[in-house]
Amino acid sequence: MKRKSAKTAAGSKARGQQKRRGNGVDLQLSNATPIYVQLIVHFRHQIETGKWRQHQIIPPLHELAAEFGVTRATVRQAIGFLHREGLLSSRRGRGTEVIGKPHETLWQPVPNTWSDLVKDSDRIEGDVLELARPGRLPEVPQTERGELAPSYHVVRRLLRRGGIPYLVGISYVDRRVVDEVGADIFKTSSLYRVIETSRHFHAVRGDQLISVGTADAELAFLLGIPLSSPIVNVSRWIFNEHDTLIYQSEGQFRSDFVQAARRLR
Amino acid sequence: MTFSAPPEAPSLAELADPMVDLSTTYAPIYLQLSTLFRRFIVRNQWTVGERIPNQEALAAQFGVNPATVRKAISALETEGLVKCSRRRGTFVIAKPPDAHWYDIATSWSAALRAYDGLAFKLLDDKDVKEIPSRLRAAGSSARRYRRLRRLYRRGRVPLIVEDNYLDDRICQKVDRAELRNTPSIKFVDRLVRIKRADQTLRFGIADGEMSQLLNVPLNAPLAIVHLSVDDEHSLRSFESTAYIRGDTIRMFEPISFAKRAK
Repeated sequence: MKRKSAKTAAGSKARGQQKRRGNGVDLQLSNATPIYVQLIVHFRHQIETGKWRQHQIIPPLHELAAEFGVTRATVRQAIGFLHREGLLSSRRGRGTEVIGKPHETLWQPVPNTWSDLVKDSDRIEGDVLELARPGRLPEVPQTERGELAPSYHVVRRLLRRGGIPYLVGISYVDRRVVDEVGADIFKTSSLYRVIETSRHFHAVRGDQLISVGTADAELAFLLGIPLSSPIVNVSRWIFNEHDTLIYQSEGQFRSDFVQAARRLR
Repeated sequence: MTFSAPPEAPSLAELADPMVDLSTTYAPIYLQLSTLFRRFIVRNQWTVGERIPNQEALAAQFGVNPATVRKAISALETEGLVKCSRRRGTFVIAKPPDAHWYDIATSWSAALRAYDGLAFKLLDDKDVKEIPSRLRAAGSSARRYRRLRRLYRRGRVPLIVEDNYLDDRICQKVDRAELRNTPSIKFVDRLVRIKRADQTLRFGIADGEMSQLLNVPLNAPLAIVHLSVDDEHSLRSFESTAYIRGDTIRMFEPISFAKRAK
């Protein structure tokens, strides 16, 4: 392999050494998964399995850093994440205490069945950024067959999981569905649940598209991540039996915990 | 679902013109700015033919030095997206070209074709006792695996690094040269009685090694596709991890609807 750049080669070497020093520990998700994510996964596992008991004081930062061969800042980043998740609590002079158990998996699934979409969305929490006056119409790819509804209700939301913002989504719901069920329902129900509630409009088919981008300024601000961090874009188009596009959404996820698991055979 | 009224939620007007804190990441500021400006062009916030705000205004908006803005703009000029003229200002002259998409498989038959049409180079080939970080599996492991690492290219552009582990007994049934010259999944399809095959798509960033192999910047987005295959005895016959340039991937699939009871 030709060395293209001395700089990246040096980075690679440094990372390799870190791995070796962290030998013997199950910290090998993959070499493309950021170290702090691997640490979060590992620490959560320690708590889940009771290796770190409730109310136990976990080893200090510098010990964990030495154990895994990473910097203290990286360990602090992972611990900070578990703070916000409510699993750990730190007090000056006392160290970091285990105060909770993880109640859901770390990975944010991207389902591909309507029933999972409806079910999963009942568990989400979030803020409505804007209950917008319909502006532009949804953009439908040319491969989709069907027609637009006469008008759409637009909802833009910031969703959280375990207190951590993970998704900024904009959704278009056929205005006639909203007229039927009332706009108030948006405050208490998920959008997929709203469509399931409608008696006149039935979702019968749909597609989704997953792609990758990077966080622009607004998104970085909303999700609390650095500019240009990887973002997973998920777009969905849902049609009724008359081939009318009754729902469309464009979601932008922070990418580190998204997973799309599929059984192929 | 619970919606709290966000007390400090920014208004749309604020969001449209956010105070960007360019100090929260370690990438050079001019690179962050050029990324942002390119995004403005992709999203039609700056349309082709339009004059963009002058450099002093942009510098003030983002709280950076005008020289930094100039450097960011000149990067876009090199890409042929904008044209600067001393008297008339800077105009958008083109959108960045669309990427050639690489489609992530959503079926076994598509997974079999995942590497069709790509050139490859074998980077590693050795026997191992076990798969280092086995994906969660209920079943058992084979005695030995053959590990192969390949770099796949589309044209001259590196696209995928794939690490795979294939049950050694399957390898024994195949000519050695053929084994090295064919994507391993083809042998799995031909020679394994498959009980189940699972695929997981996750996302990560390029570390030093991946950025070098795939010729992308450090921390560039990667798509990571794990594939595992168990045979009829629930023995793990095959496992593959593909690291794919993130900016070119997409996964398109139908959403399945159970038959609605009327």
